[in-house]
Amino acid sequence: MNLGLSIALFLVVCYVTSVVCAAIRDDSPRSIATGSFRLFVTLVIGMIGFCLVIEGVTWISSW
Amino acid sequence: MTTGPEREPAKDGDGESLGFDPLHLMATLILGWLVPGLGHVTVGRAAKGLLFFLVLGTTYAVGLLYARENAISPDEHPFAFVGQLGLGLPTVIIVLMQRGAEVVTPDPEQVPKIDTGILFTTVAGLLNYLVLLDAFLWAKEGPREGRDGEGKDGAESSAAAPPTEAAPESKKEPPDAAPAATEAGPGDAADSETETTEEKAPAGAEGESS
Repeated sequence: MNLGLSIALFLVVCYVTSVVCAAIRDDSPRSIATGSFRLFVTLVIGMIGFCLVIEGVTWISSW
Repeated sequence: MTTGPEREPAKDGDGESLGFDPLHLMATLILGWLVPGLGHVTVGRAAKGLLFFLVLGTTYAVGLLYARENAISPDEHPFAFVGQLGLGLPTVIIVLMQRGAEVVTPDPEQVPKIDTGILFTTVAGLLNYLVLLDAFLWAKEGPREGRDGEGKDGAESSAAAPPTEAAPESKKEPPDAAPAATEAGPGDAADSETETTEEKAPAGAEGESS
């Protein structure tokens, strides 16, 4: 499986998660749409940060 | 979704009403577990239930298409199976179908696809647990009470909101109308506008009489 497909699948899972969470919280379609987008961005940024932290810890522990 | 005569609400040991129907609660939980979104349909939120059905059903179906039946295996992936069990009906059906079938070791080239399928089906199942919790709370508190600005909280918020909305209007009023507004008191702020207009008239009438 190539890297592009893995990233695409990761983004799909993130977006599904954010849509469901936004739909649980909000009621109107507009607030669900905006809320899910904001959650999606937060989730992606958070996951990238998490991966960077894990990579950093792995790198430091390899010294 | 109530048909026929309404049942009395459940009561606790002291005979006080619990405020919800336990049978309705159980039906919401079971239906929501079997099919994603069906719990929300039972509490009167069909649009949201349809959204959950489409999103979670599609995610689960994509996972199954990716990995076929290899995605769901309580023996090989027990922890993932706990998540996949969140979508009850398809998972149970697949497990029952696997019981009679012979075990086939997957092709090593298929392993990445199986991992992706496990991921999708597990995420869909875990998210359905969240959806189930939301439907449970709606069934317990009632579709009109206590949630998202409707019902109880909505009434409280609508009762609490007018003072902030009424405050700028009181600022716009001329200085001679201010005593009338203060006489109305802090309570019943929602009717402050009508009360001030009602109290303005007698004040004007007093002025005319004097």
